[in-house]
Amino acid sequence: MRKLGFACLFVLFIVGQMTAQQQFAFSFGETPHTLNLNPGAETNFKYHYGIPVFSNFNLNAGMTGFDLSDLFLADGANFNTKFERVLNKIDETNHVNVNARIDILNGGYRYDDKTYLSFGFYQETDVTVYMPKDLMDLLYEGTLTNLDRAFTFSHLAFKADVLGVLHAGISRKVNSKLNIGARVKIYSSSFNAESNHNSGTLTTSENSTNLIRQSLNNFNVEVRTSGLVDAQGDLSFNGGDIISKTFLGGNLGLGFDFGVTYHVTPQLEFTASLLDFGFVRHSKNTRVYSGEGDYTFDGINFLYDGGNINYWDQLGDDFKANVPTSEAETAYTSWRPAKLNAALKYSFGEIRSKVCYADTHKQYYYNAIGFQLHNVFRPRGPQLAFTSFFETSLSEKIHTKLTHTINEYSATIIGSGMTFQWGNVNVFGMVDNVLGARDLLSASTISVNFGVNMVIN
Amino acid sequence: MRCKLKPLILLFILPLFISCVDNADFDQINVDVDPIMNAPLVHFELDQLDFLDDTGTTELITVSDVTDIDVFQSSTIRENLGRFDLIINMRKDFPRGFQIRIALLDDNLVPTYEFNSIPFAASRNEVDFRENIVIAENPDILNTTKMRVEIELIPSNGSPIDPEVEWEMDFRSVGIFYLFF
Repeated sequence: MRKLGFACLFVLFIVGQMTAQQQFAFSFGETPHTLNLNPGAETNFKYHYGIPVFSNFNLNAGMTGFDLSDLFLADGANFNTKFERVLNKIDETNHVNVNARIDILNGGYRYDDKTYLSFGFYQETDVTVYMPKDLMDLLYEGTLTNLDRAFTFSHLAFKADVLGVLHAGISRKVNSKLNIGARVKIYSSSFNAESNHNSGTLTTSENSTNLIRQSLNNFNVEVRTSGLVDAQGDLSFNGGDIISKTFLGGNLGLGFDFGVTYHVTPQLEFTASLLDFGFVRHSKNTRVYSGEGDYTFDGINFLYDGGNINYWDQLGDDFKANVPTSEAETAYTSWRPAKLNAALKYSFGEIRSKVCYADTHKQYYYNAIGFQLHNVFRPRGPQLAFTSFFETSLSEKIHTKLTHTINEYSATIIGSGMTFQWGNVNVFGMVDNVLGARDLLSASTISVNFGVNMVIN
Repeated sequence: MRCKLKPLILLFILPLFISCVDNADFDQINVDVDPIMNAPLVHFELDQLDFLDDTGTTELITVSDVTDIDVFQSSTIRENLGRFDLIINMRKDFPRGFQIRIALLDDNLVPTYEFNSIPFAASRNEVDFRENIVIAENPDILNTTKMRVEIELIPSNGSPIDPEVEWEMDFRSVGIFYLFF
């Protein structure tokens, strides 16, 4: 049973689409991992280094409009029937997201009492695909049963990225209340495909010139890719290349993270971060496909004038003149999906003191409640999530967090997480949507995050 | 106050053990996609002058025109077309009869499919026609690269064509492509 669960997660990892919903771990514990989500997070250790590959693994998958059980539940129903049911349920606002991130290298070093430096390298796959409802209907049903329906190309919107990120950050304590931080990132994109802001309709309708008329109106579609074809324009998409180019061998970009931690009172803490504010400039192995124009097609008009006219060529020339298409090696800029996190946490309960770097000590409360907001900027606009949480320490070494999240996937997402210290080994693990984990097939969203790091005080 | 919520540990660990997808069947991914696409084909309007020679005095028995059509050379069509229907609507105010012969041809003008000749009697003003072609029974149709429409004027029954008298014939057609993926 568990093998199947992992298999499902693996499938989601490979073929799915991704959204960065690591908000669960935001503002949770003073672990190396929190620096990834808030470069302004407070740290109380002397240095840390991650176990390569195991330092941080994060997988999020979510979908709206339908779930996998609608298609794959072993209920004996005809698959076409189920597929049509899903097709009738979804609309163009529904989407599938998957995000997978693996830390290859992660480390940090305390420069002085107020300054902590961190660096690392991780690989990320991030995919968002909106359901092109009209185009799916067009391909599935055709035009015969859809006379006068304007199939719109604006439903076509997606963004897929595979990239490596080399980063270095600084967390600086300004005073007893304020801690700020920033991180610079160099992106190396090995694959990108994106399309958005498309327009146009295709309509088949009855007409007096011929029995029917096909009209392409305000057509304007562009698909940008890099890493999909080689310099000769041949399809060149293999796993080895994709992975190797993430090590600074792909199209490069620059980004920044910013973060802040502010203690309003000793018990009330505000944290916020802006992540992946940056871009990738795609100039290698790019292909940009585009088309634009209007066209009305009534068929071929025979003239019977004996002129031996090549009607078909005329038609093709006329279409190209009115709807010019192109395939070009144009360079383009792709913005990273920026994320905005903010949390307000009120700590209470028993006060304890913990050992920090250089034998210093810091007081902390055993319990905390609060809420956090998470927003990621997607092709069709922001995806918001609101999370309320409760944190409690089971011991000086074990800290837990329980969350309830409302987002576009569900209003009943319960998450649980834990971080514990065993000697110098810090281990954290989180599962969001505990209820959904009972039946992954029916879960509209699932998120797992774990990591192992060495922390030295 | 220290909250002893050790069940939280269970809450964290539990999903790892209760996660299951054992009620799933991923082998059933087999969607039959059968879109039906319709597309306008040939249309034309002929008047009385089209059936007279250059002198305007002698009737032409037949007029014919042909066009390339590459649609059957598309790999999508060749691999997935199950059936092709031709639908025609014709109207006229000619007091004359016609025979309309439509053929699909290959590069060498050899018919890959010939439709039944369509009679358009002198007494009728409108004719509708539909012919269904099952590709499996007529595989040569996939070699089609041209389409010809020939109009034969039925000899006069007392209503010769007068270049000064306006008569008109409209021909409109649509193809329906039944695709099976």
